[in-house]
Order: sequence, then structure tokens, then C-alpha cells
Amino acid sequence: MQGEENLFKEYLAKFLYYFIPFAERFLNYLRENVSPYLAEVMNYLQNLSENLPVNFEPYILIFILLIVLGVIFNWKLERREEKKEKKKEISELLLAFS
Amino acid sequence: MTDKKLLRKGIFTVISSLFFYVALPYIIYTKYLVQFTQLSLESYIDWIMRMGVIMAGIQFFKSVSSEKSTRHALGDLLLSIVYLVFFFKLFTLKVTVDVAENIMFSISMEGFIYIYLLAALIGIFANVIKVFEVWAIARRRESF
Repeated sequence: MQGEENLFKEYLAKFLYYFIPFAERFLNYLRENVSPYLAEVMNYLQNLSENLPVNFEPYILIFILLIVLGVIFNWKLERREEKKEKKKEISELLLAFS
Repeated sequence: MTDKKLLRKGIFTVISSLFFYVALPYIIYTKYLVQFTQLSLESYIDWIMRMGVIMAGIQFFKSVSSEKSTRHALGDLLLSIVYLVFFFKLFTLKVTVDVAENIMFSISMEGFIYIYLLAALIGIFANVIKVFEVWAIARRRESF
């Protein structure tokens, strides 16, 4: 048991010896290259969240718009896709019979 | 003609999401949280209800279209964007707690924003890729 523990500690030490410099370099890279973009996104989101309307009406309007869009898409597209799938199945069956 | 099965599923989803995002927070707030007069949670509940209405709409848009369709993937993308805005708004809000006379605490969760932002941006990126992937697969199927 003691030997296993020692082995584990040895492996852990080796892993940390290689991992810590890598992690430092990776974090530095993130800080230099990713953080400015993240800060930009944060600014944009800050402006957006400050300018969001406080009334309920616009949200309800968007909700109604989404529902109408959903129904229209369902009406226009879903049945067509179903028909297509059926046609494909029939053609596959015909191919199998031939 | 509409696909009635999907429409039924969409109506069920919109009712359930309206219940969970709008009705339930309102009930919890008016029944239980109002008693804690020291806490000012109105803005939290208001924003949950406001964004909940939009989220319910997107859930309907998503569930009304069949899986593996571009509209379904687009609904996922919209949902992840709205979730990001919603959580950003929630994390930037501050709750004030009146402990005693002239003593007031202000609680903010701004520390969570960076972690969530990173995760949400990765999720949005993945959803954008998914939309294109589904679109390409549908085009390939059409060309057959």
C-alpha cells in the first residue's frame, strides 16, 4: 500500500512538473488573445441588457410573432417533407422489388 | 396542411414553458417571497417573466418543426442566445437586503458572468455549426 502511494505521489509530481508551466502559458495565452474579445462581448451585452425594454408589450409581441412564424413554417414545410419521405420510401420499395 | 402531431406537441410545450417560466415564478413570488420584506426580488421575478415569454415562443417555434430540420436547429440557436442575454441580465442585477436601520447589503453575482459567458459562447458557436450541418444534410438529401 505504501509503495503504491509513493508511486502515485511520484507520478503526480511528474505530472505537475510538466502541467504547471503548460497551464501558466495557456492562461497567459488566453489572457492576451481571448480576454479582449470577451471584454468586447461583455460591453456589447452590457449595452444590450441596459437597453432592453421594461414593458411587457414588446415581449408579448415577439412571442406572438414566433408562434405565427412557427405555425406558418409548420403549415408550409412539414407536410411537404412528410410527403417527400413517403415518396422516397415508395421508390426504395420499388427498387427493392425490381 | 399543418402537421397536427407536431402542432399538438408545440402547444403542449408552450403551455408548459409558460407555466414554468412565467406562472410559477409569479406564484412563488406572490405567495412566499413577498413575506421577506427585507429582500427586493421584484426585478428578478420581472426579468424571469419577461424573458420567459420569449423563451416560450422560441420553444414553440422549435418544437413545432421536425427534428433534424434547419428550423429545429435555428430554434436551438435562438434559445441559446436568449439564455445568454437572460442570464447576463440576471447576473448583473443586484439584490438589496435591509438588515437593520441604516444598514443595507447589496448582493451581486457578477463573478459568475465570465464563466457563463465562455460556456454560452462555446454553446452558441456549436449551435451555429449545427445549423449549417443540418442545412447541408437537407440540401444533399434534396439533390438525391
